Amino acid sequence: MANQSGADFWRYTQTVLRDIGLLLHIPGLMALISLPICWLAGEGYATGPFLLTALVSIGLGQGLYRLFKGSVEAQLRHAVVIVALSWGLIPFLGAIPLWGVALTGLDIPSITLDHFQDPINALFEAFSGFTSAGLTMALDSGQLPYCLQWWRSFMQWIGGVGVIVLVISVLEPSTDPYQLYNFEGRQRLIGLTLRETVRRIWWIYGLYTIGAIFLFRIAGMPWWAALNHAMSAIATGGFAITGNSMSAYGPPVQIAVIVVMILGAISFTIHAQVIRQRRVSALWKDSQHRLLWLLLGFGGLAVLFEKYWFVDRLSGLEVIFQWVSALTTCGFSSADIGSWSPTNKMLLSVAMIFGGAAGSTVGGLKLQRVASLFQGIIWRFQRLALQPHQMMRYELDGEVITEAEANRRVESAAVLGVLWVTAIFVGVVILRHVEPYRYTLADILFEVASALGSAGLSAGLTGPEMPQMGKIMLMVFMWMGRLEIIPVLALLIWPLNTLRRNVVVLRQYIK
Amino acid sequence: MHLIVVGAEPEGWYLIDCAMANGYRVTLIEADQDKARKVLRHHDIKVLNGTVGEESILAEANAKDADAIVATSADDAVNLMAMMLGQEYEIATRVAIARSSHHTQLFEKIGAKVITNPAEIVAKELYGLVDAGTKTGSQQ
Repeated sequence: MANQSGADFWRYTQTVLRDIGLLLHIPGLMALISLPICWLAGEGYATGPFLLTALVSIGLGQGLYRLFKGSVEAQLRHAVVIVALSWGLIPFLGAIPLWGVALTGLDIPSITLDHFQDPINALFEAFSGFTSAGLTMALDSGQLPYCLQWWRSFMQWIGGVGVIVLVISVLEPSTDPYQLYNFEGRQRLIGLTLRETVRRIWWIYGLYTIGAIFLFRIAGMPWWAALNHAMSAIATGGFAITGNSMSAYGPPVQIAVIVVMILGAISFTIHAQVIRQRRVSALWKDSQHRLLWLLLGFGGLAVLFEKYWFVDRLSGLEVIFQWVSALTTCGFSSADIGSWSPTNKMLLSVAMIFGGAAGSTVGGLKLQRVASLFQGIIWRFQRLALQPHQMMRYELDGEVITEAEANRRVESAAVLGVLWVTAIFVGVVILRHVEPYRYTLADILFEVASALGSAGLSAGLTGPEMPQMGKIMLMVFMWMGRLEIIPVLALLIWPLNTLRRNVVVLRQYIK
Repeated sequence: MHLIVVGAEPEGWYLIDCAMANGYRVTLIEADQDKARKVLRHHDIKVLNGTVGEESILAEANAKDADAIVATSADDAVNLMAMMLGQEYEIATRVAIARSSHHTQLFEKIGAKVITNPAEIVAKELYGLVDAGTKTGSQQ
């Protein structure tokens, strides 16, 4: 009996390891692509670290892949663990360039760069990159060498579109792609086949990135900044190369950035409809996008009002920028949020937890679930008003659904909502113990929400001076949040389950 | 204007369509849950799931301020009950389908307007067309 479950477990592990091997190629390929940029920027000393990254990634990847090549095709139960583990391991590889360049670039007088000699800082930055969070260990990102500025933006650009989508487009015949795809929280297939969908997502993503580059250039950013910030903005990442994020720029650029952030928060499905079918009305037809506009508008007014009440001075663009950055979980900042009122910090925290539309590059709970929850509340009250024989009509996004389907939607949103709230609570408790008391509870909540929601705005806690425990905790939260918590929990429960099974077997022997 | 329809049969379906197109507010009473749900899917109207004779169902349907009640169910007993209850609630216009010609008089006795056996009416029309067609065919 023990042998059978042992053999099953080994077979399961083989599939998982093989597919992780496949995904591990990604940072390696990214590093190879980045080499020309190092050379063009005249930063030859960076060649070593990037080559090392490529070597380790592709080496490990090939090793795992070839070793377990013959294993079973991945199914949903594999996909969860594969996604969780890959996305926990890839940042380790992504940290190598940062750490390596910090060590080899010793003659560069930059405190910012020196901090990346600490592997934890490099790892943090990599996690923040691949989860397109945006919290940064860089004191002044403007002082970083070009190759590292590029690497950070590149990590976010790839992380935004989802490592999984990347895999499918890299053609893996033996993995059942839909399983992996689904766990990324992408909604509704755009094209006819999965590959078609992925291709279209890439097209739209690429198109918008290029558009953003030109838009930023026209608004006034220099080309290099436009490139990096466009990649970061469309991925709703938040890494900047200015040192003080978007405070470095004037209103025209800030407005351009707001536009791109909002574009990044709209789902690919809707983008596809607008572009291919010229149906602009799709932007407000479904419940989650309507909620997006509603939250952008009314939420914006709320924070504006709150800021005015607090400081007695109207600072419109500044407030709107932060609000949009929080709701779209981008993370660019144009103000010092640490000095804002606790209420505004809480409002922003809620925005970061809500996130933007499901099926886009945003983090957070995602508005489809928030909309389901609100809809659930409305239905609840409608049901109260029903008469004894009256039947309830459940309408969602223009179609009528059965009661079972309606309940399922609300239930899955509620379960995830509870998980998020629990995670935030745990995070706040831990961080409160780790951080010095000069940070208020609102600050702590803000930082935790920012990490879990992959937003990237900071109330001032995040930085190289942060206690190591705090950095590790936020890294875990960025990882958890990007995967929408359940895959990470599944990963943690998985060994417990096998342990439990073995304990049952043991008990039988003892009896 | 408020209309109560009893029975989600095909005739009832088209009637609801018609009435709604002409601005009526419609309430449907249907005993079969699946049939009721099908109508609910297409129209945002009040649908009560139960038999018309059930205790409070017509009260829930606000029969007191209904302008008309139409019984289109497959069972004449149900239709008859609907007409009688309609009379109780003093609904001005009461219309029903009688599935069998034996029951037509019953409906008329209680003051309801009735269309008897729509299937037979349609069949007769169809026959007329067939007859006309075969007659001209044989003349050629």
